[in-house]
Amino acid sequence: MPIGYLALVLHAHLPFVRHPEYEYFLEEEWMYEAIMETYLPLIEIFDKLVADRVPFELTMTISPPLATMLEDPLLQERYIKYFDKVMELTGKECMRTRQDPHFAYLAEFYRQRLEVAREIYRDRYQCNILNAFRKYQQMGVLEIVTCGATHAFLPNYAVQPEAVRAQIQIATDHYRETFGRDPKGIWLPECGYFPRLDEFLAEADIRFFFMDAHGILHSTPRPLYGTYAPVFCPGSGVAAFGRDLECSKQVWSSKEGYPGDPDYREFYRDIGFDLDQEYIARYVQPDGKRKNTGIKYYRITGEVDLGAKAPYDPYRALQKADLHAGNFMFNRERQVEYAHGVMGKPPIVVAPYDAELFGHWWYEGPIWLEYLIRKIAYDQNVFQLITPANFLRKHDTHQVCAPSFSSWGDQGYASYWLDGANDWIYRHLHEMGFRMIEAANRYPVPSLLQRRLLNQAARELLLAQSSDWPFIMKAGTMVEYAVGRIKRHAARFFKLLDQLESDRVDEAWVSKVEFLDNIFPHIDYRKFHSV
Amino acid sequence: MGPAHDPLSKISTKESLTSPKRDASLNVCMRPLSVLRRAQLVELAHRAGVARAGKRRRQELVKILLALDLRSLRKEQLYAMARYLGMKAMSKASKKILVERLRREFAQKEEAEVKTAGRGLTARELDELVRAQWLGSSPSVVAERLTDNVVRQDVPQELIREQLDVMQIKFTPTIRHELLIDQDAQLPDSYGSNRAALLVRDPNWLFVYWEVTQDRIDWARSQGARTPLLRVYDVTDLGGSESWHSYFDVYRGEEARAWHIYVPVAGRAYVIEVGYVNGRGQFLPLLRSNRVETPAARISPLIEDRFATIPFDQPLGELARQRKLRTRETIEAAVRSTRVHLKMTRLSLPPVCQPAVSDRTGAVKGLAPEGGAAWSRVEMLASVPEARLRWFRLERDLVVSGRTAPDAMVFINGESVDLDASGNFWFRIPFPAGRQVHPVVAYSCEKKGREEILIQFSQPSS
Repeated sequence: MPIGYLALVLHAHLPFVRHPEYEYFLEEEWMYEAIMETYLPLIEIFDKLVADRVPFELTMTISPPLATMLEDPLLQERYIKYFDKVMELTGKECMRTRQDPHFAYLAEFYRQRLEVAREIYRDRYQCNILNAFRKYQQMGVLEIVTCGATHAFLPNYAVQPEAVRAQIQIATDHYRETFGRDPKGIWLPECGYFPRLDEFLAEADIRFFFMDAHGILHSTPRPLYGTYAPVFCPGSGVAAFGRDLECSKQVWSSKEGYPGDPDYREFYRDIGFDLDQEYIARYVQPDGKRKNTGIKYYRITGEVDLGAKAPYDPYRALQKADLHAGNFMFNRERQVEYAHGVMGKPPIVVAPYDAELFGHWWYEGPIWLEYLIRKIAYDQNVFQLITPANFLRKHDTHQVCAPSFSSWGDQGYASYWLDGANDWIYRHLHEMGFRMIEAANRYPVPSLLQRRLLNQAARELLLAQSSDWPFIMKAGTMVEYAVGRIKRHAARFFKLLDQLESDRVDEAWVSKVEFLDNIFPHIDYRKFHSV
Repeated sequence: MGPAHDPLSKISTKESLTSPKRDASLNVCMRPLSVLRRAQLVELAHRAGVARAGKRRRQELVKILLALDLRSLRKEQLYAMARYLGMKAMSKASKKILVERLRREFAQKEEAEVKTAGRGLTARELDELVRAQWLGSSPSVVAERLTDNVVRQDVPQELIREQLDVMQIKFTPTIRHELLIDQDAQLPDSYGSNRAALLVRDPNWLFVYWEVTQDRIDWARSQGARTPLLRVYDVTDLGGSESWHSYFDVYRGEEARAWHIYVPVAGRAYVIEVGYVNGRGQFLPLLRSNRVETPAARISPLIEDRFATIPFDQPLGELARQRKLRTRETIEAAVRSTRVHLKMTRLSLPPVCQPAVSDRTGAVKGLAPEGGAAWSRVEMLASVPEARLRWFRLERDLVVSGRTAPDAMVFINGESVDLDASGNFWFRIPFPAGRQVHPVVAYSCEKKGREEILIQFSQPSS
């Protein structure tokens, strides 16, 4: 008889990057890599678990930009091209390495993995992997929660309640269109919470959200059960679940965590950088600049230079994943037993992760997850997997606490998105917000053309608000792209509103903008109006 | 003259097959000017006496060389050029022949079917080779396919690399230029508004940005504005009024439009005014920011066990819409309170020691029913043994704390509880639905005295 619960939460988000104006665009590959290395492997293990009738329940966010991109025909077509190229490369690799038994084996390993991925992507789900996740949700093994419309870091928009509301309402509308039901929960972008944000969630009838541990631990009054039970926000009744620190350290930490194990695959040794320019030219960027190809032959090995890495051995890595899954489960058993002893009622351990950690950064992550799920189902009887929604259905009495301002970013607050490198953007983003709110209030009953302009302006604003841009500026790679995106969306936004107000509309230009920034086709700009 | 009749090509092909390890400059001679590297063109131009050859761009050099009137050059210059281009048997040639050969050399264009010196590949074959390589086949495979009679390692890698550059341009993905709009977009410097926005960065840092119109600044100047300031007010627990507990000033730059501000105390509320101080020390505010609260960044000292039951199937949306009218009532009407029945019984008496009875009151706090903070109080008779167990009191239900002699031992459900130096102890009792009984036992030092309190809970499971 289980005496506690584990809620595994995978957060999948990528910024909206779609450039029909370029045949090749490097940043688009963020998504291709994520499909190849994370989403398809996850679907592979979910399908296996479902086929084997293993009982499990997981929670996942699929942010609106990611969902939109996964269903975009242009990007699907380009992904297939990308895929075919990698496939071709593995074929060449099998030839190139045929003299070396170990590397030949690894090349063949990749080739076979790709065959499986192709079968899943093209044949099983007809290039639309969102269908897979929809299916799991209908089967009841997966609970998909929504996210901010474009993953804006909401605490930085606390001065503009309308903007916060629009991010949430447009996301829930999108969720309904995409998944055909109401979202029960939300993943606040970057777990960014500010006091009374929950009231905006209640308006959209969202019942729960996730926080970093200190958001719960520092709530008022003192939470009796720490992060082992959700709390209800006073005034709204929305439940807040806190991240379990132990779970996150074991999996996230590159030093103490599992992904740093010497037997696991090394992320930074990629043949895109290792092999001759002549050989690899076709598989890197068209201008000849090197990039990751996803084919990596070495393991982490230990604290050695990249050059001194030892060859990867999938068998050993699988064994390690098995060991680590067992270890994770064992730790959760002890944790649940202890917490149950102290609380006298079933605790819930919430373990949220970036989905891209599994597979992309930690190659063995999906396998580890599969092993973990199987072990939890068959090798123990202390706790069971659950989704927050089902937990709240079973246990509806909780302490009433006001959570604290927090995020799961560096330092735990807003500093990563409000740093010397990116603080300048808020002047513009807030101005755009005010202009949008004003316009939404001024045009309650628009003409057809006015509606087009206003809706597109709303899209531009939302795209500019994405937390990915300040994140990239702070992280310091691809900064130019992030700055360019904000500038372009801002320019289009102001131009659209200027055309609206002056009534001199350049329809050709508007059509192009609509074609380029085509997220949220059914958006209603009136979500920005003041209440 | 057709390429097939080019005597030079025959010579070089033959030579190459016989002696593959030839002077590298031979590569040069078979290529038209447009494929020479810039350094090679510079060398050639130098020999032709072109002024400032080293400073010209590659395309320029090609043009100059093609336009060159070879006849006007000295024979030595022509010979030097021919040598550099790897042309053989020229030392005894007349100036006229030199000019002719060089002209032919220069005039060769990409389309010329010239056998690549030393490699036995035609330009088209080379092109194909490079293209094939660009498309992903390995060089050896391509070379094998193209030229059965050519030794594989002779594939001119350097040549291919250069050709690759050309191919890369040819293969550069297409751009739909009509869609490249707003590429050089710039953000406006200012929006001509009067606004100060205050944001929370973390418990100890605020960020403020502002914009002031010139007329306000002019007004401040007319009032004798001198030192630009940010005044940071602590407005914790104060409502919308303009009152404050305290403030401090931050000197800002005159031109600054944003500032990161350190606030030493976490968990407070702040408002900022942007302004100036005039000569008499008077503060002239230009703008007032919004109010923010910084996170407390610590575990709350407030302990209050207020629980709520919110059935998951009950929609919050309706409640939230009504909230604008009556916030607390509507939410709390939806909340079924948890009822707790508490009963405490003193059980056994210690067999070994004589109980001295005195009246003590033990307060037991229950979960607050009806969302309030009402405590159920249970009167309890505590028997205090003579020995060192001076008193022994239970204060709370879920979290139980108490105190006894520092050298006593306390057990709950048979498990020992740690005491601190002054005999305080603290533990939590499980509290699920249903009836529960927990014996709490205290022994005096050396187990002479024993006292037991039985806590009974029952919580309705509905």
